[in-house]
Amino acid sequence: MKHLTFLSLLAVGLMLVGGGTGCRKKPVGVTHIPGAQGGKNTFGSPRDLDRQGSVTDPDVFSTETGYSSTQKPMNTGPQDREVLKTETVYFDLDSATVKESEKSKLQRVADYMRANTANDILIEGHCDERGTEGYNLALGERRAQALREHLIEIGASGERIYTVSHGETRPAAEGQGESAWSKNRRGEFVVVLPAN
Amino acid sequence: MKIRNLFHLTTSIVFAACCLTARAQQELKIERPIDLGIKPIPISMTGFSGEVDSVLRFDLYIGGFDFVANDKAQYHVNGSNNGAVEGRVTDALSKAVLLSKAYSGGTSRSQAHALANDIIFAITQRKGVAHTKIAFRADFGSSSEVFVSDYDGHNPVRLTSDKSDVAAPCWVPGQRKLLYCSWKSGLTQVLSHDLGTGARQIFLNVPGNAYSPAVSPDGRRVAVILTKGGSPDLYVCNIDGSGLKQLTKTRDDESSPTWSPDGSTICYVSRAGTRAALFKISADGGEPKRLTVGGSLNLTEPDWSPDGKFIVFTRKMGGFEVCVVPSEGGSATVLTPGEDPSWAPNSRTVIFTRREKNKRVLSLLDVPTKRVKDVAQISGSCSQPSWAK
Repeated sequence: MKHLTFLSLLAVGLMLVGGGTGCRKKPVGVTHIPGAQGGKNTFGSPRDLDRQGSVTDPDVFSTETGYSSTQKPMNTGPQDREVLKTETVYFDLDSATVKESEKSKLQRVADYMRANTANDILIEGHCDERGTEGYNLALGERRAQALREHLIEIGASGERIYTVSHGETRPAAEGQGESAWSKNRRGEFVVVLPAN
Repeated sequence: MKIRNLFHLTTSIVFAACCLTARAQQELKIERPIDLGIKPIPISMTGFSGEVDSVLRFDLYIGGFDFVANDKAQYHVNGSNNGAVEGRVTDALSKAVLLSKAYSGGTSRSQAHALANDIIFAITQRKGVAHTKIAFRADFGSSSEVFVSDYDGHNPVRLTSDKSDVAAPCWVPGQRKLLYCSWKSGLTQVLSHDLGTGARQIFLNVPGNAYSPAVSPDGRRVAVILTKGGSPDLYVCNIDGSGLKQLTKTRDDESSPTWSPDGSTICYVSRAGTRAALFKISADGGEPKRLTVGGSLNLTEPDWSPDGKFIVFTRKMGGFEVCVVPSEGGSATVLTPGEDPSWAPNSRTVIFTRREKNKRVLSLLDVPTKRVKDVAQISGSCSQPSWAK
């Protein structure tokens, strides 16, 4: 009975999520993790539902974009950091939400991927120095994953997109203050060529 | 004479034991989460010179002692280091000799650490940590490497030379072995590194990245953050990498797991609302519970004390502060500005990172007296310390 109540609350929560984010195109190549949206090992109490949904917090994923168990290893050839440099996406403080103003860059990354099918994309998530090193590693990963998810949603192949976090250790701009910090909260797209 | 000394020694131990009992009872009534504000123990010290003198002063300062004039001291330490190190501790009041010992072998630095440990034990019955090791990350601008050193930063040894990035070194308890994150492959992998043989291997072969390994106190299991399922989640597996099990499935970013001493529970960082908070979960899986930490926001980098009583962590309300909270939850006590604390095996001393203008330095903290002292510096920017246990 308790379970039933929980499930119906979950359903309401999911409907609200749907309403909050509009009609999202069904993502292609997204691995749905069993239980990712409720169930045994999640923060499953009804009180936590609004935390999990995007009703009050748009800063969450609509789905989990896991790697499939058959994900091929990333290319081992040279890395080109220049070709997609202008598409670097910037984030708000302590946020992994991809801002509307940044989404056109993702379209250009997806176009590049369609035109260069042998190349992989490594998305690097970076943070400013205002979090702890331990926390920023996780936040940077989440930023990179958010970009990966959006690329998959607009049709890019998840099998060719990899993520990594550098936390706060590789800033784009040195110094303190918002002008430096805002340049450091970013996701960079690195093109990884096939070996030889 | 010997017999008389022995008698004094016995009485002073009995006396000390009585004091301890009385204090233990007092502590029960105190509602503060940890018995802070303990005054350093005043001692006098004579007879040592050079490196031995400075080692002893460093070890005893961070061990909770104050150096005062002879007539204000509760204990007298004297000795010499002409040749081998020898030292003696006398109770100023009873004149009882609590310690009289000479040391042979090793470096004079190591002999001085041994004497410091013996002095601390003779006076407080606490085991010293002067012979323990730490591991940490040193950043050189374009790359970072793992280092191991004495607890005071001396005798640093560079463990990696990958010209890549590393993070989160973590000791396998009771072994000369570390786990740490490496970016050498382009993605983030956890490597295990045997300090005896120098052999390295990839700890887990999974798609995605691996961050923040933490070995259970019995050395048999590892908690780790993996991204193979999407956003960073908490997993556990056996020390050989087998038996991988997912503990959290959230869309938030989990980080920094730490084990309870009995290995039953893992404390880690996730989100509550929009802010980072501490959670506990059974190491076998189950419902996570938020750890109540009164008056504190943005909590990260927890480390569970080896005696199980406390969790130190970093909070950010303005600047970064190292704080401590009872492991069952309660109000937080701010210890010092700084971040990423790691307990010593004595559940009393903590090593943490301090931000300076252009670099980060490692510093030691004696929790009850809140005394802080930087460890010896190397050229890089040092952070993410892990104390060998």
